[in-house]
Amino acid sequence: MYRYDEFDAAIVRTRVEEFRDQVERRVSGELTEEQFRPLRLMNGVYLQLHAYMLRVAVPYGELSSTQMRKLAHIARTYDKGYGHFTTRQNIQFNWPTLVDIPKILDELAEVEMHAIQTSGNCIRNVTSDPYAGVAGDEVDDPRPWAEILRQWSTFHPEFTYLPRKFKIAISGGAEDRAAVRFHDIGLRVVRGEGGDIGFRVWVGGGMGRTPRVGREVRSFVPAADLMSYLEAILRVYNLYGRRDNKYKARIKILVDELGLARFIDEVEAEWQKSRASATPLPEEEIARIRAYFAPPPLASLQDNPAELAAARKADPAFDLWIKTNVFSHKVPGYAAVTVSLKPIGGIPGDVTADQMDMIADLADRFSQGQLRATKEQNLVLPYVRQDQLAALWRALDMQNLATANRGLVSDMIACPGLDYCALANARSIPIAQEISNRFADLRRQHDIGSLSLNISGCINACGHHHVGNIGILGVDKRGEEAYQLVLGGDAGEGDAAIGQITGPGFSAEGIVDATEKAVAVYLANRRDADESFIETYRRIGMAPFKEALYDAR
Amino acid sequence: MTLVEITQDGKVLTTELSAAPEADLELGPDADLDAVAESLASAKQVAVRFPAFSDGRGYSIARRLRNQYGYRGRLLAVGDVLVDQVHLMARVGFDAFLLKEGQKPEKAAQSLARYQSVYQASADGQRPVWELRRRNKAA
Repeated sequence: MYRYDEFDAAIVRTRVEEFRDQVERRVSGELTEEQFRPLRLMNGVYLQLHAYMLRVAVPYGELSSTQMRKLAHIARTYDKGYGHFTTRQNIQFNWPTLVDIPKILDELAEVEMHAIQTSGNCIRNVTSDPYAGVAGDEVDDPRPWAEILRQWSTFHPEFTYLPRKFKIAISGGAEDRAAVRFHDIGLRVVRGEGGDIGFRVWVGGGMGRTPRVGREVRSFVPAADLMSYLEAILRVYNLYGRRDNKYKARIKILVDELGLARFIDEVEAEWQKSRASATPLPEEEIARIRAYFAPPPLASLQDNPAELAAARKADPAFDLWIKTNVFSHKVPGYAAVTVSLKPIGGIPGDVTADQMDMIADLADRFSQGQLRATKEQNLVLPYVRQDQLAALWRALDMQNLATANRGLVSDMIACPGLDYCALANARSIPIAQEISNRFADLRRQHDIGSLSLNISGCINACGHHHVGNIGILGVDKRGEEAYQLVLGGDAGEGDAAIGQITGPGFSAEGIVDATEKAVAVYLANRRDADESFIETYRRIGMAPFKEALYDAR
Repeated sequence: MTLVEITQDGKVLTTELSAAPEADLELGPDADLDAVAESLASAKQVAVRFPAFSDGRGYSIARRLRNQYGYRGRLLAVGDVLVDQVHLMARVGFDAFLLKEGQKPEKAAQSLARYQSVYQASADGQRPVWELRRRNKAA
């Protein structure tokens, strides 16, 4: 993984000192809350319903065991003993005090971490594929490019006070595992006609109250032009994006209002004018950064060793876990393992400090000290020997981290909701917990198969309800929490779709029943066990679901 | 009111003024630069107004003035100009800042001096880290 050199380290240290000064000036009253607000947000500090929240960046989801131990220490020392992994591969601490935050940032800097641009109207932490460098279908490893984007976007002087937040995702596989068409800019690494590396670019995807699937603006941008092209997009947005209404300020609205053709014309014209003065991306720098992502030294092994087959046969629970939580590795004899942060009845994405320490130890023992955070709010151990999967599973199971549910109904994405968030209209976590308990039987979940279920506690859609195969949206209905049901969403680039609302909303209890009914409709209609929920939905449409949900009421 | 300037040789000067400095041209955040291109050619002092510090259009206007319109005169930031943003303004090509009432000039100087290294090429001519690394390696 990437390591800071003296420049990176100095930049992060300088930011901590700058923020310490800003906190002192806020405490003394020299800075007003209005003036301080964007400064703290750009350091990941939110003011939530009950307390400050600190969002720490995990750039493109890559973490070392040393960093994980530091996060455990922070959870224990400055918080209530736990942290929460988010859908943007970051981690949040819900209970720090403002005056402790500079100290926390000092501690993070010791392990080459920071909270820079995890909020605010700037370019946010870049997200990517948690299986980068692991998946066999890669055109190119997206992580060097994501690190280049991290550096380029850090304190970008021109794009720190944009009309609204700006999210970039990049994926490098044949399959998109970074939801690139639901970001302000989505990038896929592609090869040009001559075999050279470049990027396919989409703009204006996103969720929130105006969900949009990203629109393609260029099928190929040469690697050397990446910065100049992105700067052209951002300059057009910075100058012409709406600033009169925060709900219409994202770049997706500018693309809507200009129309795609005119938006592209503006960007192309700007690009031609500014290409020469943009940040150059030297070949040597690409090579320097790429070298950090070389695979670790791995043993020469065969796939499906005898130990694995025997253990699967001996223990059906282990076998079930292998079926869902193991991702095939491009290196024979290895696997990437999902550590489920979705125990039955648990809070999606929450991890205790003790669990973090344990996961760090397991990463050292089984996975070259490396970890990944996923947008589904789980963790991945990317370099596990297949003959050690059983030992790893037993260790995870002791910490309640081996739920065999990756990609199944209880592997839910949920936002913090009304339990923490000042924007929420309804609770998300208790609904997720109820649904998880309702589907507690893992055999039943495996029978239902691949199904994404995403829950947001308000229209801002942090729980990605628009792209869940089943989505749940919490709303306020005359002072009561109510929940709308949405079906048919899909986050992947190829099949990207925004879910459709089924009809009138449900109560907190009613939404759990409604979810179960939707699953029952799928089970009754699927061609066979290989046809997934989303495939059946696409084939039969909304009508049978509506009928089951509403006709009997 | 307080004017903070960056001199040709990189020094930071602070001057107390009784009236705002006269600009040949004052541009708002929605300025059409093509429409004023002719007056830009002869202008010595151009002001860009920040109606609110959170309105970042002025940064792109400055960048365009410097890198696309070849403006080389003094570029003055006016309006809601706060010490926590002046270093960013300097990077996109501003070299003078009329601070908002109550802002401490010594804090502006501190802000301008704070970051020694930057990742991006911009209008201030500072070499980005990506180039310095290459040079270090060559040395």
